[in-house]
Amino acid sequence: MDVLAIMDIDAGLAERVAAEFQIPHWCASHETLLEVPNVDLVDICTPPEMRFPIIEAAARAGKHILVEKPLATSLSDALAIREVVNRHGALLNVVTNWRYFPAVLKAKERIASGRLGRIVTMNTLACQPFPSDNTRSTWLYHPAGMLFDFAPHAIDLLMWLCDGIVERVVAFGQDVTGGDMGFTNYLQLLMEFDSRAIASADISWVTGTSRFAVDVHGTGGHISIDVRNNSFLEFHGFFTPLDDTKAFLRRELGITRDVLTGKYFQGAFAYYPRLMQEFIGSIHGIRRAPSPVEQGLMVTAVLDAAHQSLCHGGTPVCIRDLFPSPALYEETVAVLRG
Amino acid sequence: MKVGIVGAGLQGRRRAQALTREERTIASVVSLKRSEYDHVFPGLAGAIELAGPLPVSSGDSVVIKINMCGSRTPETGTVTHPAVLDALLRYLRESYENLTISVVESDGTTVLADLFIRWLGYMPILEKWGGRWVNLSKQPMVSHSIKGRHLKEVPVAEVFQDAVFITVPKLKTNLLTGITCCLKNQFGCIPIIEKSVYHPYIHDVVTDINTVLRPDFCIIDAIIAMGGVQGPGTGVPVPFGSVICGRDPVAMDALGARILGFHPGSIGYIRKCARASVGSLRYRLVGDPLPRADFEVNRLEMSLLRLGAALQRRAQLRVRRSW
Repeated sequence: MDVLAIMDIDAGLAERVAAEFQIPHWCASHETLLEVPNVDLVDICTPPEMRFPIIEAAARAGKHILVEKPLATSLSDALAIREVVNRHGALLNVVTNWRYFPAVLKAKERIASGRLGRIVTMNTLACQPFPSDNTRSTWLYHPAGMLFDFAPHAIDLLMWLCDGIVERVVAFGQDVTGGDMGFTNYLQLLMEFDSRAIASADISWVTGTSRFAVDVHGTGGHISIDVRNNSFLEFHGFFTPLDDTKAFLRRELGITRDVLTGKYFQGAFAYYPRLMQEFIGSIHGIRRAPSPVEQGLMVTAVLDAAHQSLCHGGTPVCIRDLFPSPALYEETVAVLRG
Repeated sequence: MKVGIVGAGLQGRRRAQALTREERTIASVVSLKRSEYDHVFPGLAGAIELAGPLPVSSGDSVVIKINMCGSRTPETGTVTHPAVLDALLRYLRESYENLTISVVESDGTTVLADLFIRWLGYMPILEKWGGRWVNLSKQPMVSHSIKGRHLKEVPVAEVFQDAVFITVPKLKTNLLTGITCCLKNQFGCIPIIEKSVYHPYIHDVVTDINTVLRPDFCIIDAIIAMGGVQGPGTGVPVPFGSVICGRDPVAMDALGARILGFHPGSIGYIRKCARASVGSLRYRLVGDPLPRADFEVNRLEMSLLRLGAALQRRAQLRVRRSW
């Protein structure tokens, strides 16, 4: 895999990054980038609102597309994106790199093998202080705040872990400053899946802590993942002092190993190459795309539903009702199930 | 072959000894067929036929003892899956006429049998195939005097009188005994609720019950079995995809123990039941090859937890005495 070109509307920035990573071409427009010979795949890292024309141009030019999450900020935009990529026969994959933490992969494997029985409830916690370090531009301040920032990762993990489709969403959110920040900066989502599982997502930009954790409760056992620390805990029945000791030792050994190899400090960025490899594998027809356009579309539908629920004071929103037609919803679900 | 020995003198005794020893060392046939809960019937029917026909005739009364050891849904591997019961009842109804079928379980320390039979999805199956639900804790009992290892009397519910007895357990690890399968399923035939009073003597009690209530046929639901160290209630569900059948509960448990990673002789009640001539430790497996699965049994951890459970029992006793 070779990176042939990089584009940014700030041409100077594009030039600097190209020089830093020995990228042969740099430019200030995506049209120019798409004219660079031999580019097969375009990796789109722009804010969501600016993606549609780039995706459309890339698909028309016959390029495959890797796009940052969320796929879009509304279901209608996501449906338009799907229509465009399908029309041009392009493959699109949404970035879901948090799935690749070994602790998360292990949880997925254990759940898929039935070791947790039937999934009943899931809780995810994604709390952190305001991310000033990576939020220096104004594009992020959608009225729903971090709903369209980190929530896509949390929702994607929940859907992927239980292999389910969210059917209903309720959301409550607030601005900790009473309105001065102008966007939702802490919220809770409650999701009901087609499998009758229920999941909550607690997402915040105003806590004094930084933690991303997922708890999965099955009829046959329990899994607790501390995603950032790549720590996995599974127990069945009583959580005994023995379980506690084993979990502690495993966690400390794992963190020590990750610190020594440097992975601990790379966080989720360490797993981009694997995501990219899997996507390339799907382009070559070797495997399924890790997170195809339908997956991104469904996550966007959940975000859209949560946004509408927030706007209406916590009214439950049915995902099916957001789709322009029931047939379109069924078609999306069928593709995801297939 | 039925043999009559004439004369019980030295020669007669020797003949009897030799013949019964030979009987004991014959390997019992145990059949295994791969199966899934979506379509249990073909696997179950195949396994039953491989293990020899059911000892049932048209017009018989058949008692089926399922395993409901808690209000745990079937995919946890804790209770006999309703799909297995459904397939068994279908097999019985399609193969024999005018059977009186009773499905039984008793109340226990953690079992509210009348509720669980409804909650866990068995009742529609009983209604579909014309089966009768019997809570053994609410049945008239006939007391059987025995010279048991622990029990001197075994109360047996009237429903077992002249009935063909089929035991349908799960394959599970058990913190107390190592494993639980065909033989220990009969522990649930004791009508009293606080069966845990027998836990300190569990191996002897299971042996005693099986000398009185030896099943005529055994069907293990091992499609989702249970591993880990906290069975039989909260272990790890392990997809094993098999239905196992046989006439000899000791041989069935011997195989079950090996599947779960135990030597059959290391499980007290299996060893004792073999000695009490309930069945043979030797088995001959027919049917599909044994699948492979990791049952995640850590023997050291199990021993430590068993010690913890014993300490807990002692502490609880102390509290009770202080009351």
